[in-house]
Amino acid sequence: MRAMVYRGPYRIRVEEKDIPPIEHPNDAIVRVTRAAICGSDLHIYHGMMPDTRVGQTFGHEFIGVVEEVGPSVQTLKRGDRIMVPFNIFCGSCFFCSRKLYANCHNVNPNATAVGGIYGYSHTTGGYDGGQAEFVRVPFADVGPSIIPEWMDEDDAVLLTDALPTGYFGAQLGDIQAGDVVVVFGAGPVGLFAARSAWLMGAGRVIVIDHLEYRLEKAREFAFAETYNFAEYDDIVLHMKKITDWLGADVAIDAVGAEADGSFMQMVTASKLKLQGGSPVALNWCIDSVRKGGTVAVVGAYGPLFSAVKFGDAMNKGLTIRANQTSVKRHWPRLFEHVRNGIFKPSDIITHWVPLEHIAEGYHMFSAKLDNCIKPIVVPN
Amino acid sequence: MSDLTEGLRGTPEERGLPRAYWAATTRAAPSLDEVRARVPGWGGDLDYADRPAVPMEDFDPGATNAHWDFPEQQPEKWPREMSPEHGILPPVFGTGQPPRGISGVIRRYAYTLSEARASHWLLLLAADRVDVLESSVESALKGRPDNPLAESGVFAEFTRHGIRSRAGKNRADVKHQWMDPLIVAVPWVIGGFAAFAAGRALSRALGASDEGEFRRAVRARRESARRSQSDLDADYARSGDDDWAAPAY
Repeated sequence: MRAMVYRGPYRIRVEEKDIPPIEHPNDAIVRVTRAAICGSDLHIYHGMMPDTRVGQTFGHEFIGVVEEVGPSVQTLKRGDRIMVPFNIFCGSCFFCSRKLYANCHNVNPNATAVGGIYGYSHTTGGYDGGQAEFVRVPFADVGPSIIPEWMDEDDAVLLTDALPTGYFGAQLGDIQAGDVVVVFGAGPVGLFAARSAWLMGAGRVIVIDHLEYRLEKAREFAFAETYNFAEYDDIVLHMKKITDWLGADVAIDAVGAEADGSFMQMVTASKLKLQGGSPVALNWCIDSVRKGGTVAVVGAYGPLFSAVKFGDAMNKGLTIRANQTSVKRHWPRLFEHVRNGIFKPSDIITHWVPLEHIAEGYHMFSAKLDNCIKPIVVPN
Repeated sequence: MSDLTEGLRGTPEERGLPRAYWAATTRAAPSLDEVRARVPGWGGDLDYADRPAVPMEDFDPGATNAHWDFPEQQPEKWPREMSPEHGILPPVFGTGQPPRGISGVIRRYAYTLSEARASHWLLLLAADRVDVLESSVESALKGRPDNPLAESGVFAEFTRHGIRSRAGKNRADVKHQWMDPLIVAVPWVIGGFAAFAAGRALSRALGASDEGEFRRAVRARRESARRSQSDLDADYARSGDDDWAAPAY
């Protein structure tokens, strides 16, 4: 089969690989029909995540058709069109029984601090991902769902990570009616977080980024008030000015490890890999939320330490809430929202990239060329 | 005389004081009616019962389709590297890219250290870089050398409007994007230097023995010549013949 493989920081290529075999009785092998490149894929593409091995196939957002199932699989059969959450989870451990599917303890030997994720280094279990023609899907009875007939494939693939993660970010913010919510990052997750904040009753939603085309999308898609931090000497100070010198009630970090805005943070984290991530967005969240406010973190960071302004967080009495998203937990409600037209997830897709051209697709997304917001990879 | 209490009349709101400085009960935000009219679906999930992740922990073991108390164990094809913070080998895991070579040795050692240790993660990052070099050599030997330019996808700069996407856009990332090619190139430059240095060292090691032989041969010829001259001088002294004397100028 053809598959994207990692060759080193900033380098990938398409290679011929063996079709993955069934390795556990509850495995399924899925023929991928759509995969997405996620903003967090860029962290491993840039070599930031420890134990990212040459030869791994990335891709944790994908949908496809069941090709083969293991002997204990009961709910899926060959030919089913399925969507697969980015989390790999057993459904039965201490954490899964508490619906913390993202924190499953039975799927990742390499680390206890993170669950299993497709194609996201060995730190998340060493699974190959879906930017390929075929992919192994463990716990086929637990993770995937059959794509409803009415659902568009491009909407379905965005329901495997980006939309649930943005929606979860707004929930982490514990938004109350009338709250002022600031979202750092106007990428796919930030756009969905901003849109979701309204559903939870926000009175004002502010989105911060430095890419004007993404801020324009935030205004159109998420009805947000937007500010380009590159136009301000100090975006935190500006946030205070426009929020009655209080700050926002809720701040959402939808950027993660490669946040821009501080040259030193960016260089030490993203370029030199001396931090688990550049916590610029997180620090801006901490500083621009009001005392007693909530900071929600859905941006992905590496496991190494980062220079976070924790003193400010403590002194301001903040509540910091964070997690990877337990995707499947959100599907019933999100399916309703998509079916009712509250969300049209595929509105944020800007590019469809053939698998054979995925190296250009990664570069385009990484370098933010051609107004790219969300690229979809089409294997065939 | 001005009225010193003039500025204190009226409520803080009437006086335009920022809300941070008095007991405001609301935020300065548009009315919720205005927002509801403007944003489709506003407030649809205002009720916490409609928020699937609230509360975050929700004990409900029957909520998944798991039909086991504990999953069957996936076969372990090699001693699977594992965080020492795990009590047992988890039943399911990825099997791609087993550790191998020098990077594999580093990785296996890193997995003897807990996730709490920075050295665990830094060693894994170091192993990643070694892996890149090892894999590049291996790939070249297998007849499919890396093509850094094509693999970097940099040709998208021409097909996806690299200049137009950046010029005049006031993008923060443009300030450091010049480093990206260096990050791609530096390992190749270091590898090139390493290969050159290794080649030169090897050449010197081989050349040193050749040079030694050459020098020994020259020294022997000179010694032989010197000895011949000494013998001739001695013969001349013995013979007293002036024919060998140097010509007078």
